[in-house]
Amino acid sequence: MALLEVDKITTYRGSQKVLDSVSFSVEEKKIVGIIGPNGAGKTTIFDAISGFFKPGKGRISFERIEITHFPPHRIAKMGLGRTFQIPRPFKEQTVFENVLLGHLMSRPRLMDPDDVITETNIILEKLELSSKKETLAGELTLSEQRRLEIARALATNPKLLLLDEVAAGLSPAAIDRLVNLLKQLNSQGMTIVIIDHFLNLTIQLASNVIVLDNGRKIAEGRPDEVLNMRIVRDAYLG
Amino acid sequence: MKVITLTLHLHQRFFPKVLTVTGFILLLFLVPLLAIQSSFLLQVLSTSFLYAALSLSWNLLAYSGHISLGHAAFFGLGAYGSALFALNFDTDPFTSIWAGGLAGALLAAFSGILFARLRGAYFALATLALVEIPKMIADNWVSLTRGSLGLLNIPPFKLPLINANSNLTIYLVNLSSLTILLLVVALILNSRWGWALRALRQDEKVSMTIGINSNFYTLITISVSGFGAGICGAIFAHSIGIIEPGMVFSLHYSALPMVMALFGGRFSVIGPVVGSLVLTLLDQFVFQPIFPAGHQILYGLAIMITILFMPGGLMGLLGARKHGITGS
Amino acid sequence: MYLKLLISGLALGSFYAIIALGFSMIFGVTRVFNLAHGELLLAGGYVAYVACERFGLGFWPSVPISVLALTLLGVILYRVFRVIKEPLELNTIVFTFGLVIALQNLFLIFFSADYRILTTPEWSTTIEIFNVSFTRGQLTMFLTAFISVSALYFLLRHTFWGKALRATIQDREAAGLLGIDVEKNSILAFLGGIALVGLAGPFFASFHYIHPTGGIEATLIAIIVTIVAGVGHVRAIIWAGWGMGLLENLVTTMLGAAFREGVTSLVLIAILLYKPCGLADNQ
Ligand SMILES: Nc1ncnc2c1ncn2[C@@H]1O[C@H](COP(=O)(O)OP(=O)(O)OP(=O)(O)O)[C@@H](O)[C@H]1O
Ligand SMILES: [Mg+2]
Repeated sequence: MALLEVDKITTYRGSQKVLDSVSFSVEEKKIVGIIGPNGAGKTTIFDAISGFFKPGKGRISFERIEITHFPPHRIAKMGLGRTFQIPRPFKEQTVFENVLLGHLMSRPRLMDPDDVITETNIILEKLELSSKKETLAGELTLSEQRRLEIARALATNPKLLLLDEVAAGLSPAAIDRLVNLLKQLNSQGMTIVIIDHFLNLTIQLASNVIVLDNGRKIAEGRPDEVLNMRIVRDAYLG
Repeated sequence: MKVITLTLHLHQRFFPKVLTVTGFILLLFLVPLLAIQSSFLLQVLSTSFLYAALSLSWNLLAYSGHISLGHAAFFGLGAYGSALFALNFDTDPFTSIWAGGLAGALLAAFSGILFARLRGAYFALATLALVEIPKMIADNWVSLTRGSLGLLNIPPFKLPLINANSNLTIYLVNLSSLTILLLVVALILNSRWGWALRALRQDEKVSMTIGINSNFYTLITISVSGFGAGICGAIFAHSIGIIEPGMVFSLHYSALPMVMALFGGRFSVIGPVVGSLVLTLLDQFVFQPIFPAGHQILYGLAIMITILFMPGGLMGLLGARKHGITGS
Repeated sequence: MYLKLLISGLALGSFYAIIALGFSMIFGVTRVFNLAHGELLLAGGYVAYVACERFGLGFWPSVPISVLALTLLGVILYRVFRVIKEPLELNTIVFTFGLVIALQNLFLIFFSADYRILTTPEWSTTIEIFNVSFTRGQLTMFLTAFISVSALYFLLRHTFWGKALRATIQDREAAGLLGIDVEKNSILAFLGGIALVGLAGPFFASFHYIHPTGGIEATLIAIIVTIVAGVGHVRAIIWAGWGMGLLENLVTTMLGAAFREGVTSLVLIAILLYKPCGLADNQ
């Protein structure tokens, strides 16, 4: 069953057409990559799915419910988590509190405080942030902030996780660890969509890749297939 | 309540601070025993309690990142609402102030809905302009409000065993309201609601992606803030006995809560109270004697100094962290 | 009757255009949302009042004195504004709100709460041009606004400095990359904006009674006109200023002066609801 379905969405920023009738769907428990050159419209797709940028045309469904016009917080509560390309931590809060906020706000009812604290610690452990627990998020390095983005999104316990260029600027070793983490999450049943400009993660993880150029979907398929297509090479080089 | 237990888990220093604040408030209740009933000090303290309550209300909204320059609208409507209720239905002030609070809350909710798309400086501007609307109505609906002649003979508070409307009565009423409001605000800020406000203030977009309903939280927050300001206006009306539009819908009551909250420290729960105590005492005992005409220049200077040199206010200087719990 | 309304409305509107132009220049280059604009206007008025009533100078000599005094004040303000941190618009609005209170109380200390006016008896004589009668005051206001606004328009459109300035307003960073001295331009534009307020001050004090708390309405009007017209659009600012002048006049005659402030506020709210991003839309 398709968890997420994007059906012919078209959006404008000012008079510029940023997405042009883009369709794709994401099956449950899969990892899908979205790639494309700068300005292709990748982030705009995430903004549309998470409810910030209402498409002019087309529809988006999540778990078979049309969410095109739902407000962002409602979509988030349905089980959609996302990160931002440029990390946006709550700077005045500690790392621990950032993740805690994800827990507190996404649940319909309050959980036992002990459980919240335990779960928060587990997530921090997973993203290797335990040692920074009491640091203010504004004081983290870029790579730590990237991991905090993921941690906060995970804390909302999403069914579908949208990751926007989380690997950019990470060392090869860090990328390896990230790949392992995502594999693990996926094996526990989480569906993941990755925007990946440099293709670092997609090649290793994605079962399916969507290529965007200039607001249009120009190709789709298995990573090795797609990367050998002429049209894709042209888009990246030209 | 569960989140409060959580707060206790997170901040072991929380509990001693609550004790200190409680002790300080109890001490304030004892002041009248030491001072003479009619003393000037008692009056000044009463005023500072009212301002503190007003600043707390203002700051609750500011916690969400919305800076209001128009709390005089809610304050004034509370004053008029309560006075008219008491005069027309012949009720006790302790009953009518709830009507005043409700009037403030309704106007606040209305403006919350109307200004839902405005942020930052533009929200501030809209609230600044808002004050003129209830003022225009109070000025011109002469059959109800007597226009610029104002309302007279607003009934005073009466407490058992104490002379009606004596300084002592007002002192006790103001201090009790402040205590209750402080408790309410502290509970809100340490609940899930308070955490939502902290998140919204820092990054609204991200807050929404973790499931925070921005419109909902802003609306309930501005309503409670307007309710508090309305109650303050109501208390003011009954302690003064006379109100007129220019007096309650004035820039003064929009500026004061902001000045005091910012100066005391807007990121801490008790910051506004500290700011009100310090500034009112400074105003009445230092500036008033030196510049009888323009003593409120103090408030202008206080805002400017705060913005330039101490964004966290006095509590910030004392080391309160911005998220506000440790300041409680 | 309507013609009279039109004329006084245009005269008032020209005055609004000058103060809005000042607001717009200050905001355009420094992002300072100056809520104390009306109080600065009052300060100019009070300076002219002192020059005229205490030192016996006439109206015209008091104008350069007011301009000079405010420009000096502007130098100090510019330095102070530079220290204010992000979020700039919100912080400056709060800061200048403090400045409003401080200035109001300074006026109270020096001038008391009395209503004062610059007496310029020769201005109430009427002149007839094409069967329409103006007071000399209206004509002077109109001409002053016309001359200063045209001068500014010429400066911005047709001189190198003006082009650099407009580039600075549109995009600070890009202007810097083009080799424009952004800092120098900023301070010049800021002082120019303040000087316009200094120019308007004496007129304000000779048309209205001035009193310490009488500045806020002028501020709101300057903001309305600037938002409607967009920052730095000189011609649009004149149109919007005239529109506001006519509206105010209409409200005063039809509803009475008691409704004027209320209507100004309603207009501001309506405009903010229509343009929720206010000045940001037009950069
Ligand atoms: N806030 C905005 N206002 C106007 N145009 C925008 C805005 N954000 C993005 N755009 C434009 O929309 C188009 C798509 O942008 P988008 O951010 O979706 O691209 P992207 O594929 O994520 O690129 P990148 O690899 O740089 O992140 C670009 O042409 C960009 O210039
Ligand atoms: Mg992007």
